[in-house]
Amino acid sequence: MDRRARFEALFEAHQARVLAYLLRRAEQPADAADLLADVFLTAWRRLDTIPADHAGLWLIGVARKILGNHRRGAVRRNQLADRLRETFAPMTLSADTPGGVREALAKLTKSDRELLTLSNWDDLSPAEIGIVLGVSQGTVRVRLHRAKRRLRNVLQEGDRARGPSADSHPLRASLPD
Amino acid sequence: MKRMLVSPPARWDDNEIDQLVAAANPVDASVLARVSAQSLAELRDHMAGERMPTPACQRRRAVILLVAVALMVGGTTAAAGWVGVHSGWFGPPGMTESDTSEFLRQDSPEIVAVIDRLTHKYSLPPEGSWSRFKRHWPLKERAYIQVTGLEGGVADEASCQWQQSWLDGTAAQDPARAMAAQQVLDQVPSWPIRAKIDGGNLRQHLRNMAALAHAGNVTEFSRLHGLNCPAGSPRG
Repeated sequence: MDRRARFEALFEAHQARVLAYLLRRAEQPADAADLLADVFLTAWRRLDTIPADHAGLWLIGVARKILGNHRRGAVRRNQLADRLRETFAPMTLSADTPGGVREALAKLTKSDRELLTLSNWDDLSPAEIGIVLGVSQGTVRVRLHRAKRRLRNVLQEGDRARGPSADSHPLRASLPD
Repeated sequence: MKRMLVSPPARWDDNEIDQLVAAANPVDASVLARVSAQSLAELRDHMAGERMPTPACQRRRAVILLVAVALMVGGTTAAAGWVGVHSGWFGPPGMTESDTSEFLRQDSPEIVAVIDRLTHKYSLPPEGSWSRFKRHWPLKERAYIQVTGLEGGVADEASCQWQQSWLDGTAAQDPARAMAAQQVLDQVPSWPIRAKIDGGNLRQHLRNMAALAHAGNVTEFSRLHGLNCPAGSPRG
């Protein structure tokens, strides 16, 4: 398979997952278009070094780092992403759940928030998170457990602040048995 | 089969926390379905036509990498079975979050000396100690961390100990101790490592902590300190 065909296969296989990752975390949905272009440009240039057994996780790792750079400065507009940006601009994402779980997540450290969202928004296992973050699976499990404890504390404090009659308690939502 | 929780339990288990976070996902399949497939295909085709880095660029990068490895490894001799701290794997430009620092082996005995060197860059309150922080290394299993990430953990440990010192000084009505801690807390958001690897709102959080200390808001300060400075665990 030639280089271009390999890249197209990589893009088709992983673009939805990487795009979802970026949309969940970019300050504006339209920024996700430029960030997506940056991620796959990196992939195109480094195509020969992408690990075949976890290319998707490698791309998430690149997206994570590009997003980190983006947050430190203005997003760099990429002409390649012009058309895609137009489709994202009017996009509105889902509202926060009752009880303000996203608001509670925002009160955690970046590290805790990242672990919880990689696990529950991006559906990564502890082993996969370990590959993305460059730490061991055991370390991820320990940190994830602590992050859940801290989120629980924040939610309970929010619940106490709202009082006993709060209709918006997050666990008033139906949960599967 | 669904069940409704009519009153919040005292503690939610980890599975329920997972479900809550999953339910707060801002991008589900319906959002992704609205993305134009044609625009994505155009983007893909444009990128596949991008010019590749020239061989000269790649050679220059390789030379820089080799020199950096040689400088960092120095005179270390690798004995059989010995786990060295240097991986020779650097964050490539444009790939890592902030820098091109090397990924170090956290399971190497040599990591202890690296951490020791980093701790000398940060002061602690008079009653502070690095011993609890340092005892986590070397790890028992293979794991990598960039030098900057490691320094971020060291800086976090120092700032947490200064926060504790402010709380203790305030509780003990020891204005000199609280003031000394306050002066450091004011500086923490400006520490170079914070500017270097603050990918989120960490510096804003640290500024907020300093402001809470100035305002004497012990309750909120203590709450945030408890959430972000768990006792006994390495930070970063």
